[in-house]
Amino acid sequence: MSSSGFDRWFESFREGLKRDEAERAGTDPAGPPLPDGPPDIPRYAIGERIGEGSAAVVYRGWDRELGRPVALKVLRDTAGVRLSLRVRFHREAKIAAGLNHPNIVRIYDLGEVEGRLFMVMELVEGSSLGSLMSDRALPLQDKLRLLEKAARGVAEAHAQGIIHRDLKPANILVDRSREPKVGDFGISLGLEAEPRLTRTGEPLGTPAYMAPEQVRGSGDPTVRTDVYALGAILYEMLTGRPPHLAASIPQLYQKILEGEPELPQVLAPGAPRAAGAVALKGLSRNPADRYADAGEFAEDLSRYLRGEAVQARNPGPLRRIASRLRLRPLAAALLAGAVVFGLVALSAALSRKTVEIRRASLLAEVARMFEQEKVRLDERYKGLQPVRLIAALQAASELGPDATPPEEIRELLNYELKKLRVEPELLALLPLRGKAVYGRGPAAALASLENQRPGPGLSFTAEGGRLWLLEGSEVRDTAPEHEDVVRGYLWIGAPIDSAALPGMFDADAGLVAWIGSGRQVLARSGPIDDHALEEETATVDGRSLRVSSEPLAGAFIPIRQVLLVHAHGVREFAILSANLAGAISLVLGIALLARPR
Amino acid sequence: MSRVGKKSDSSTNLGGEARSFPTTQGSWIDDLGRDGSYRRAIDLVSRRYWKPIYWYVRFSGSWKNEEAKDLTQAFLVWLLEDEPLRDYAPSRGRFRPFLKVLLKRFLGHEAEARGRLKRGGGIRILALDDPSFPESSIPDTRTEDPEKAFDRLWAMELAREAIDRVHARLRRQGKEIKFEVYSAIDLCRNEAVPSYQEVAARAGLGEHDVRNYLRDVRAMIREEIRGELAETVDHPEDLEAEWHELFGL
Repeated sequence: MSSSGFDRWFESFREGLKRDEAERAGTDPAGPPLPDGPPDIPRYAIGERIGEGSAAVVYRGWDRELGRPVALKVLRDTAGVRLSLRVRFHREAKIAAGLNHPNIVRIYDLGEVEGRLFMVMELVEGSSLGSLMSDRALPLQDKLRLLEKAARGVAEAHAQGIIHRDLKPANILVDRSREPKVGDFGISLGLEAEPRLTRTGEPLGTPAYMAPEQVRGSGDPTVRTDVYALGAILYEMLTGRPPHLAASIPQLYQKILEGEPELPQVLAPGAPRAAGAVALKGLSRNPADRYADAGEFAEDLSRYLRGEAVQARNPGPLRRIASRLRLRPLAAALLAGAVVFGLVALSAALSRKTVEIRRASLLAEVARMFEQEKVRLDERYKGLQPVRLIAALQAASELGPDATPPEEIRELLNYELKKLRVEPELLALLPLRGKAVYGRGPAAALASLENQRPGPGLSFTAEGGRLWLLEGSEVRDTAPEHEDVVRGYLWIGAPIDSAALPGMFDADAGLVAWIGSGRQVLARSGPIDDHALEEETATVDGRSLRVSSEPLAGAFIPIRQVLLVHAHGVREFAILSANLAGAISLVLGIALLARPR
Repeated sequence: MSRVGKKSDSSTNLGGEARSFPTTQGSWIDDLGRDGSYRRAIDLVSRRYWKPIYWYVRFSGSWKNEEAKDLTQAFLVWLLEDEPLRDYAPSRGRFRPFLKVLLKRFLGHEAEARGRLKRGGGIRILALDDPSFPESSIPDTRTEDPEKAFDRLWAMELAREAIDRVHARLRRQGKEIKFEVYSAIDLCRNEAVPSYQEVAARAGLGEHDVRNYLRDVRAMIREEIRGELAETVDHPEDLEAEWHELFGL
């Protein structure tokens, strides 16, 4: 296709990708991209380049003294590797060289020439588990056998106290007699400043096999970190995809940290449940819940292969739900309330009396939980009452551009954000000269709030990882990935005249609500078109809703379809659509329990 | 039970149907099928892919700019209201061809589509009124095959998103120089792409660094795009097919 001036960049861009692709395949017509050709090592004849990664190049070689083929891995840019890491590399590689197992790639030699570190290894001619895994002609049982053997190799390393840290299908080689051999032992450590960068000619892969503790970067990896990777590989064998898929690396990290993989049999109906249970046990987020080491993993997998019962159990539905929701006690109580209220609502037609009794006892329980949490927070923030997000924002922004808000302000923010159902960690740090940090851990991103000081009428809601702000008469939509602020034009519509009103909106329901004359609650569905939509009056049981004091900013935001205000002296709520018993009941619970201050 | 009503007694569609609790995270493909987040997913599809949709519309009939804009809006409103993507799952096929089929089918009922736009109360989903649009983004004046225009713009939007994300990431890491090197070469708008040597000299770097930076950023962008594509496919082969069809690789 020819190109106009406008998309010339795209041609150029594609050209770049082509070069990248060619380099990966080792067929770059322009030759090797780096001027670091093979080093001259007298003992070894160095042949073709057989793999390349960001940290090393692998060559086919010939050991002149012993007359055997070898693979030579030469680290790039060794001078740039810190001394401490070089020491570590030597130490680890020496230990790894002592590993002697049919399912581990042997390390023969280690050295340094012209300031470059190199390693001489067993040459494995064949393919990798990565390519065999997607071979549909190869029966699943054969694939599982390969993994079981590879896990035995890893188990041997574990028995010697060595952790691989970077297990993935691409570095489990399979020789021509179908014997798997785990490669790259002992060199993962230290050389991977960026864990995503892989080494030996594999594409720059996704961190699909990284365990949560690696993503968090907290603490040293353990043998259970390798068990996680084995679980991930097994999962992929069963389902054809890694346990977590995401649009971007930060999202993937987040899923690894928080997500529960789908049951393998859900993704692949033919997948054996017992093998799936082994994978899921390996993939437990908490290392203590995984197999103690690769040996146990291999053993359980081989039980399955022998037709015996495996030790791993498929998680029951309740455990999965609980683990998925990761609920804190208060939220758990409220949700439990919602669920039970939902049941209550359903059974209402059958027995009104029963309903009343159940509701009373549940209310008491939820009230207790709510009070406990409230007392704790009130106590903690005595000096900062009223506990309001805006106050907290103000406090944070006044600390100056370079300050980190003190722990108590951050916790306060978290509390307020939690009330808004903004993921508490979504906003790690609040406006410092108009900047806010979004996201957790590696997913954190900086977004600009355009230097606006928070003021009255500011309201937040989080949608799809973005934060929407309603400030004065403007709706803003922050787009963290662009580090920019754009005017919101989706669902919220044109600026609304709410300068004097606390702005409240629910981006998801397309609802904008504000207080009109006579303290009447008015609402509009968004997106707003100046000419098209009528103003509506919120009503409860036919009478219009009027607030008797300030609305509970944000209280209605998190719960779709529901408007919660402090009206007629008590908290009232209007439900836009009444067929979701759980949500209604949850609000009912809150409305009854959250007594006005 | 209480509800919000209009001034009259007629029921309101404020907020649409009831949904379950909001989930704030998850993939947008999952969002399509999940209660309560369909709209958010369509929001994303609209923002990301309205250009390919617009140009498909434009080239598939003899529509003038304004008409094509209206039909694009109508299509997006239809996606939102009738939820035809509700049941989409990667197992049913790749997303892009799937959306194209929907678009084709939609345009087959053009009269109805226009009526929808009127009934929709003038809902505007997109800010299509940028005065420089569409002239600023004509994909290729010599190619008026709607299918090709659609795919090409789709690929361009994916690329643009990925480039932006990688750029932002490098900036945060204080490695903007890497991106500058990359964009000087791979995002060059002129026919004469500068040599590595020229870029190295301009940036005060060694040629070796330029090569390395270029390779790193290309790999990061590749990974971003493939990660995004992986969302919409169910099988590695489909990922490769999308990759190949969109980028010719």
